[in-house]
Amino acid sequence: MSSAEQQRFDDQVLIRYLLGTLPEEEAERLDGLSIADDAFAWQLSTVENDLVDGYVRGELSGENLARFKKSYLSSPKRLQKLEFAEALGSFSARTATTAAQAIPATTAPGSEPKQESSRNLPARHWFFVPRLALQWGFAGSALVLLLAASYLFLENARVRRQTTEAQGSHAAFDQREQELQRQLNDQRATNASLAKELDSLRESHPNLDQLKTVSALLLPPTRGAGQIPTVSVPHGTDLVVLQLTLETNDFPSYRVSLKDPVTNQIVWYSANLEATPGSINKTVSASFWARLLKPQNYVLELSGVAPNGRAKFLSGYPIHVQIR
Amino acid sequence: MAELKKDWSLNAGAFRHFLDWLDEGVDSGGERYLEMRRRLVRYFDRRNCSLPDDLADETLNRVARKLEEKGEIVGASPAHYCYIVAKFVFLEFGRRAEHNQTSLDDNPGASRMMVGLAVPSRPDRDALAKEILFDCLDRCLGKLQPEDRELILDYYRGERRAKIERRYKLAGRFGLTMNALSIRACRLRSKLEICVSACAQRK
Repeated sequence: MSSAEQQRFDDQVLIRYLLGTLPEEEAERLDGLSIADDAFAWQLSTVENDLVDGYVRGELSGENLARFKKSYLSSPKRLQKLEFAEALGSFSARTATTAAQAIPATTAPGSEPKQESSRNLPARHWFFVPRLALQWGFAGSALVLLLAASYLFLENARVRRQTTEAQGSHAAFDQREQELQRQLNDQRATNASLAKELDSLRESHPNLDQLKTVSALLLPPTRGAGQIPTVSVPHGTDLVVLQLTLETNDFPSYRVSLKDPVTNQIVWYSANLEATPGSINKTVSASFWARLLKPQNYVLELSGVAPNGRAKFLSGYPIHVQIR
Repeated sequence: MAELKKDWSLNAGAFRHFLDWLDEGVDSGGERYLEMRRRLVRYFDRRNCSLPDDLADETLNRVARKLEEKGEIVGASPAHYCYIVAKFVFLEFGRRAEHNQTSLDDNPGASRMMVGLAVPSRPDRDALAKEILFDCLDRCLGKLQPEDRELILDYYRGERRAKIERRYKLAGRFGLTMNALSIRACRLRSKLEICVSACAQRK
């Protein structure tokens, strides 16, 4: 195994492994490396990510494309991976597009003077229409009339332009508002529809390969003998997420341990956790498997971890667990 | 997986011992355990097992139990020993599946699941799911350090040659070898996938 750690595998071999086209013996060898060899495991993950991204971008073809569709996409987990790759690809593309759109937006104002001058052309043109054919008797009055007409025309054009611009702005605002409203409605419909769909999926597929989570917010424990908060955990729950509200946020990180107060046994303990903003104060989120819990009382002991790594006990958050 | 070893459960002491053993002297704060579990899940999934998470947990439980019984495991590194046990779990699963004739075609639950996830003509659901995922991805990216966010978006952007060239530049900018860069990007992506998956489930 140690020599394998130094070896970098051919990406094409790994692609064949992922698509299930390697001979069984070779596939088994790579199975072992995928678990026991760190370097191989990371290389495999890298190649797998690129393979899925390649499919999303339409870069796969021929046998690889066929195998990918038939073999790789046959598992829900790998479908999830594909969906994530699609989202990441769209996000990158949208981010790149947004950056690109910033360029024409800055040049747009520059075009304004050009439009303005073209709008003024007919007006100027009036001044230069030759009047030599007109008789001298009409010349004076015609000139006055022309001056007045020109002034009125110019004024009219200016007002019309302002009105058009104002209408254009309003139309743009209206259009933007409508667009945002439409997006909002779509989003609401999306959320509602998805929530409904998920509910029905949960009802019809209790074994869906997804975690069922119960979460609860625990307030800082009071000094008096207050009522112990009950955390209700339905049967079949995978993960329990408890958010411990901090009284003060004095430490860079925290640790939480779940203790059985009767036996004093630690049922679970966390790695170092960072506090995140909560609705009242900052909170520390502790997540553990629901199967660790029994219907009884527990205490979540919160410790603050100083920069030098020393932990200091801060407080205990008692809970009563109800399994239903 | 309820049939397997249900008479034994992992207590806190055994679990702590197991974590230490997996860490091989370097405290990873549980990261090594999570990484091993992720690898096992991927292994069982590649082997087309219908419940890869359960089989991974079963593997880890068996290893922890063996460790508790023996006190130590010699002759193989922790990761390699996990693979040996995983192979047995896989073989048992295969035999049981054969015995019960459970396959994706025969297992109504599994086939329903596949139908629910893989039917091609599902434009509405696709659109909805994509919007949710996109929103979650936005949030999860927001939780990353700006440097990491920049790295992952740049690393996975572009196509073919442009992508490769971008990665070389990126490695130079972050002062990393290409290999170290790919591992860092991979870790970040894995972290993001977990975050997005958890976020999408909450919605």
